[in-house]
Amino acid sequence: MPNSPSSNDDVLRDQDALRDQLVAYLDGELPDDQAEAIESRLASDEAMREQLQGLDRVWNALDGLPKATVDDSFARTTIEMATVEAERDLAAMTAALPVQQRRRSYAMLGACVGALLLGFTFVRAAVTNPERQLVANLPAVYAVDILQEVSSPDFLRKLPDVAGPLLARADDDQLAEDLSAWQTVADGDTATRRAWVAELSDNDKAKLLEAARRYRRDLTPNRREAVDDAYEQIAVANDRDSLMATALAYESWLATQPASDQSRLRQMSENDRLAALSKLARDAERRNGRSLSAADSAALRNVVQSLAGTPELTRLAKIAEERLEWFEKRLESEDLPEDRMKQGKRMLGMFRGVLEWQEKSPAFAVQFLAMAAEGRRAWPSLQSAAELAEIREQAQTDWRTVEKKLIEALSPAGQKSIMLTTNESRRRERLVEFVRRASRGAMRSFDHEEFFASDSLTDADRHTLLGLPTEQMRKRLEELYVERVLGGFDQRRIPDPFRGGWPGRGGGDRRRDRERSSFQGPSGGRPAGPGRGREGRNPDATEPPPERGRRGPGLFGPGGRGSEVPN
Amino acid sequence: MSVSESTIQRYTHADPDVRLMLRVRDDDAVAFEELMLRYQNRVVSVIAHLIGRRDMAEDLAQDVFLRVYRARKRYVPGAKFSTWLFTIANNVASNALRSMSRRKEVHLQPSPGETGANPLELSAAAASALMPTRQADNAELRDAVQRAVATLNERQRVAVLLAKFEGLSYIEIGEVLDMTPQAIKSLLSRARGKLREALEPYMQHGHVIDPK
Repeated sequence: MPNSPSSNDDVLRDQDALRDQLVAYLDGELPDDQAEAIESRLASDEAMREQLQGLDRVWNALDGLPKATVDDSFARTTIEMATVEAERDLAAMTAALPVQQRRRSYAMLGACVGALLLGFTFVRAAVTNPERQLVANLPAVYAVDILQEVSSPDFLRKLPDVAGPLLARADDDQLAEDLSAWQTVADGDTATRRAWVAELSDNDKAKLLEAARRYRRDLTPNRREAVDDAYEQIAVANDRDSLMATALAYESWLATQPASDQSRLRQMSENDRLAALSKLARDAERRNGRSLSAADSAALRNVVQSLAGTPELTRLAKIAEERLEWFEKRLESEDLPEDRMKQGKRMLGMFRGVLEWQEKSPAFAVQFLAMAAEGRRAWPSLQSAAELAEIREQAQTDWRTVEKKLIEALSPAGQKSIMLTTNESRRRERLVEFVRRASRGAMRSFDHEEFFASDSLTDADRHTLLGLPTEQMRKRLEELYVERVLGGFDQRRIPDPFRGGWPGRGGGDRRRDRERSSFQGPSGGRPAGPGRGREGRNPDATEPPPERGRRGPGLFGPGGRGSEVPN
Repeated sequence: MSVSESTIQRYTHADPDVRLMLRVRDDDAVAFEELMLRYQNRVVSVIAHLIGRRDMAEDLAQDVFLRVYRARKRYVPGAKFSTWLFTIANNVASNALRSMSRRKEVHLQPSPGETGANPLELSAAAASALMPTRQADNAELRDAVQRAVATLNERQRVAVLLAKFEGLSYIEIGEVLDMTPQAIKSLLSRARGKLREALEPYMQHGHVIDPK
């Protein structure tokens, strides 16, 4: 019995629906769940597989359709027709104006449409003339090498932060020149570009033509499209000039690297390349030691000396003084076992020593301020978390004042070295490093004869010095220099507080600590002031501090956070 | 219909040809030339297959690019550039087909003069193609494919050409033809069903189906 019409229709509808799904599956247009359903059915339905293969075969057969190609005359004639239309537009615009306005406006309209006509005229010729093709593609040709290294504008935006030290090594003047040239060719119309090319030296022209050859012949069509695309993305970005400056600086650095490294970087993904460049930048910084010029070193020393006694540098010392007085009183008033009393006095001696450094050495005070701004516990056992937070906030405010003065004192190159990073903490660390080096460099820059003749010495001093044997005179000059110019002690003897260089904490010189000559001076030291406890200082005060982590009762302040006292 | 700023940004960022067209909008003649070089062959090919006349296709393709040039100041990137361009190309081809139809000029399958084959040769080709084990050579298959495409109606042809040679999605083809993606799915399915009817027997069993 034949099928009924309605069932035939149903079958056809089902067949149409199946074909719809199969075609959409081949085109990748099915949602995932429907695609999976098709795949499941294909595994077991041979008829369906044959249908799918049939549709696919036929689709592939369409590749046999002839493909048209047009010659150069197509673009040329099309552009000529567009030019004719532009001329007609100009004529129509001017004809519609009243006579007086027409005369005034023609120049303006003519300039606008004329520029377009000029551009089109040159483009028309550019289709067949290789030199004019160079002009047409000039921005991409000019930067063809670097555009191959740039994966995206975002890569260029991230680059200064992760690899600033590498980019800073570029020659600023040359970069400015290259950027200006690129801006000229990118913004210029065809006539401007032709004029720019014509004014190049023979050597530069040859380089440009070589770049054009690389662009046109050495690059595959895909690579050329990638270069054009990279240029397009930069050209339309709001921060176009900044991106191009970064690209040129990157190219300048890249040119100094071995070809194998350049190739390796080029093949990496954008994220991997940024990570690799970041590591290279850190390695370069460590190797170069972030050099400080002699002029900047001297400038920093002067500024640091001028900051002595300012509220920014004395505030922490005043807080510490109050805390130490409280600590001292508690030690005296509490009935502690002998060993704990001894330990407490040792700590007190240590803290007093640091306080004296702060008071005597502005350079140390600057470093101490930086450490407080970082939130580091400058006075273990003496500060609670709440106090630390309050101190940190004030220290950050004070640091910003100090930082500004320090940076202003530097040369442009020195400032650039500091401002390489926008990260506040890293900038602070870098500046402190400079201050330390500058202050340690004071003795390196010491000149005996110059100091002898300076105003720091009186005639009586000079008379006394001249009575000494040569070697003793030289030594005495150094002592006087430390006493009168360096505030009483040699910064070289002060450890780095950032590296835990408290007296006896391992970062300092234990032999020096025992001699304690760094702030007393070789002449026997200054007389102890009242209430400072220097005369009563425990000779063992520079022994190692108590072991960390063992906590005692709250002798050392509220909250007990600082109770790092051995039981 | 106005285009949202986010759509404009999306296509500007993602499509280099959109960025070129924005430069054309700003009267950058170099960008206009670049766009032409990228698309001229493709536009001529699509139009040639749509109207079945290679000789007219170049003129019509020029018309397409001139329309692009005239529309440059009003250009807003609301789609991929190729979608916009082939919408214009489809309009131009449709208009041409209509006027050709009015003048009774339409003959979508290649005439004997165009392929170089005369009816005797075509019969011989068909006869030899009846041999079950025979596979078509390239020239025969090319002719068969052209005939198969000629069996499609205008919309089916546009959809097939844009999907096959321009890689447009159903959504994008829908924008060109002013149809929904679901309608495009059905359209392409029917078109490929017809192509399969026209071609697969030829490919499997070696005979040509008359497109009449």
